[in-house]
Amino acid sequence: MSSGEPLIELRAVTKAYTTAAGDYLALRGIDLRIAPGEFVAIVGKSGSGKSTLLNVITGIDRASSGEVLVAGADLMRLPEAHLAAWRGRTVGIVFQFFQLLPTLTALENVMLPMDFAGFGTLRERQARALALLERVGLADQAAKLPLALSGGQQQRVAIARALANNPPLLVADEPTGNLDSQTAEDVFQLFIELAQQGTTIVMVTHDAELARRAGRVVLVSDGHIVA
Amino acid sequence: MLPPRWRKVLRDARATPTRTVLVTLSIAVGVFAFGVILTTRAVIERELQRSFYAIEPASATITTTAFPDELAEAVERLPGVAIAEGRRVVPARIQVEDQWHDAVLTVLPDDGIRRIGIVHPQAGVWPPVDRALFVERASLARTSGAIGDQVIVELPGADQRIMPIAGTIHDLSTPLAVITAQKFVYVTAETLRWLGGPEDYNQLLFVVDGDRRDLDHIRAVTREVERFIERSGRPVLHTNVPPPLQHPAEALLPVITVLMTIVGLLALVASSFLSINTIQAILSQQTRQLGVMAAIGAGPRALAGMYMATAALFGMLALMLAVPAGMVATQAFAGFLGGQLNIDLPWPVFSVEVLVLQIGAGIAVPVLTALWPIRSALGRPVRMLLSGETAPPPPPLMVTLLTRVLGRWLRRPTLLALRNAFRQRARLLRTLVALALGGSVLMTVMTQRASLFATLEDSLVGLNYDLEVQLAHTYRVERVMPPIASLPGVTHIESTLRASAFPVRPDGVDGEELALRALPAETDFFHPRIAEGRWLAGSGAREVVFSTNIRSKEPYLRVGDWVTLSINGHESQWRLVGLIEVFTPPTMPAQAYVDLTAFTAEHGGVGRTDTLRVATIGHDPFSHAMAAAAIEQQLTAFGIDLRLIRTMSDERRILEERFNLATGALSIMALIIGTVGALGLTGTLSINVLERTREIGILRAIGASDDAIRELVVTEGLTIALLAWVAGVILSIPMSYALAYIFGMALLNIPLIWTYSFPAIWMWLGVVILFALIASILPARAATRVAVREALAYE
Repeated sequence: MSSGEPLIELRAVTKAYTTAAGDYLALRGIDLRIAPGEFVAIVGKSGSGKSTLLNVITGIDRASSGEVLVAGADLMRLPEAHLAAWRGRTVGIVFQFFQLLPTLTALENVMLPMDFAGFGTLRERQARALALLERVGLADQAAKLPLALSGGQQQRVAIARALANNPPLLVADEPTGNLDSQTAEDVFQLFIELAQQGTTIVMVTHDAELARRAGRVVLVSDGHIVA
Repeated sequence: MLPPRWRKVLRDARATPTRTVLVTLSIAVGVFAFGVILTTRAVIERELQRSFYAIEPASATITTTAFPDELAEAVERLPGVAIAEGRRVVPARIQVEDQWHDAVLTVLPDDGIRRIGIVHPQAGVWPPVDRALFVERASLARTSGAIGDQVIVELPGADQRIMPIAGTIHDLSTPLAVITAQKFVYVTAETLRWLGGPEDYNQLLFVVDGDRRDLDHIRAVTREVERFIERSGRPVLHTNVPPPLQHPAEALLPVITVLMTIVGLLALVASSFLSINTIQAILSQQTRQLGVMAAIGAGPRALAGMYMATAALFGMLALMLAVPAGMVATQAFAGFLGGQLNIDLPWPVFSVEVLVLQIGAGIAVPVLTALWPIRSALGRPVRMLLSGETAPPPPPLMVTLLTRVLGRWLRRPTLLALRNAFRQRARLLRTLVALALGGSVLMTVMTQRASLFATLEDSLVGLNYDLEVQLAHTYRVERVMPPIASLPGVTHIESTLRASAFPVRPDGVDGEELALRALPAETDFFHPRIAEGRWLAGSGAREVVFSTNIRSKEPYLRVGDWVTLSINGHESQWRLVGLIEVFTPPTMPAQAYVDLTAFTAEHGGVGRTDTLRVATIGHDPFSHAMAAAAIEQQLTAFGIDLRLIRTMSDERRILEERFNLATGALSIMALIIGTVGALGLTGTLSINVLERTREIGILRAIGASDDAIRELVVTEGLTIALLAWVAGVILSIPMSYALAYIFGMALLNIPLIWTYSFPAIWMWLGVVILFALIASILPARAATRVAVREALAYE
């Protein structure tokens, strides 16, 4: 990938779901280019298609038609068996409800993506996981299980986990939606820092104030990008 | 240090201890049963062969008239003969603690050392001493006697002698004590003389040189030995060439071991169903975690590996329980069977092959069965996994409609429980199969017992006499009948003759010994069930009827054939007209019945008898015992030598003892499968409660009391139990029918009269309800402890 090329490029992407109520078109011909290092906020109402768009970018869901090129990979052609490994190396995902594995400590949760990706030795993974927890300010909580952490702390562990394999792309779906305003601000600051360090960030949010502070805002409505 | 994914596997198992314990126990019971049964089978087969080889079994036994040591020494020098030994065997009866027993008395060398059919001293005096009795250990165990007791020994036509039981010996060449009613006793040559018995040997046993398994070689050598004996001026009365190096019980083992293997495999299958249920429940509960792991880079292989490792972990935990427990149980179970087969087993009873198989099965079965739910869970898109769609589908429409109708009479929680039972249909089905298997085996065992007794009753219906009086010699009928007929209580007597006969095979070789009975063709006392052909036509007809076990011994014989029988060295021709069903194991001699008039016309003995069949007014054991004592006293008073009196009560008792052994072993197996089923029900209820934590929380939030929640769980358990009851009853019908046929044919040579045990249905209902109530205790307690706030936050 040359420096002038976008990290994410979507061309005429559609996504249709078949439900009991009939077919439903969640994305209707999306064209989107995101350059490396950009901090993009995707906004829109509930059911507008923003989460579907995020799923298509991360390979969690396949588009029904169009082209999806992310970090040099053509996700429409990448076999299912390779998709998870690609995602592990290329994309860090942060969820609204943190989604830490409850029986693993904070440190182990951060080590897990490295484990799946076969990153370094066990000792190196541990050292890197500890460094990432240090970076999000939670090194002293490394041995705690998620239930022993506050919501904000859990989300910061989730961010550390998303960064475990040093991915070029960080995707966050409503990362502050379940946090109080102060904690949400802290998490957002973390994203800004990461973007400043060159990580491409794509964040879905309902919070217009936070969206405005991102480098670029993409407005999704009824499966279209309207702005 | 373990990588985090494996730590997750370990911690998940630890985080839900009840579920882990239940699935571990389920697998453990299956692996335990599988291991116990297979190890027992392997060890018994191995040890039976090893022990039998070690006694140097005879390749052939030739019965002739009295001969000295010199003949045996000369036979041993013949080409093809490795060892030859003479033996004296005489029929006898012994009285132990006021009970007379039919016995086979064998003379032991003075030093007690036999080179063929080697015997080993077990307890008491050794080497054998004069005027003392030595008893085969399995025979003694089936009497009330002990070493040191004084017993009465009587040879046919000789005086009774009192002597002590001086010791026990182990003689593996004797028939199984559990099958034969005869006792095997041993004395010195001097003691036999003192008892009034004959001198010299009457049986020549030998072991062939070269390949001892080669039947053709053995037969060729046997023909040479027969010619040699005949050249010495003695007749060959009978030759027995048994299957080479095969203990008689080996013929029975396949049926027993196949039954055991089937039950062992059923237990393993039932436990594997429960393993599937648990893995499926774990995957269902962790759907969102699966999605998260897939989202952060875990491919299908990595995820499948984690859950297969979970299944393997359960398997390993199960092995830690099943292997040591299995070793203890195998020692007991194999010890029990070894005791029945009269063999000593090593300690500990162990089979490396089975242990490897057990470890393999303990891990492979849960892992392989986990593949199906794993494949099903991982086949869903990551998006769906992340959404955590775990809610089970609604119950089938029919159940919904049924509960609507029942809604008029049933309480709300009861209706909800009825619907809940059907929500996870695959899980319900697996639980039902595991539970119903246990029930069907239980009912099959009870039906088996009922069928055995029905068959016994049916076969006894055809035997209209109460006692059989066997005399030591033949007597004129006019001499023996009146003293017995004059006794009060005796209503009818019939005289018969008995003889040992040997079918002469087409190649001229004698077949296996037959117990021949000559009786009036129009007998009032004997009306057996006819399996094929017909009963004897009438007086004077040269016809023979065999018991059905002749089919396995002389398979070439067909109804309508002329059969040559060798009786006391004299051959005669008889037409085979029918086969009758007789309640006897196939290893016992086949029975042959001929008309008394036709028999005496050919072999002499007109107007003479050696066996009387007697009918009495009373038919109970006490009346039989009284009649036997009176007949013995009367015969003694009239100077008639008695060999033995057998009452129908004794016959029935011996058969009942065999049945209890067979059904006892099967009941243990039913208990094992039943335990798997009960564990399965507990596991399923626990999983259902866990998965419905949110629903239970909602019910509590809208005011459901502890009692209502408890009722919900218990009713669900009872619903599954009642379904298992119905399924078990249905399944038990073909199962018990097949077992009655196979068991009957293999062990008694006739299909059992299938008699379904209706009490078993109600007993199974009681058991399954009890199972359900016990299985509901833990899940119901867990459900009543669900806090509303936590439940509503539950994922």
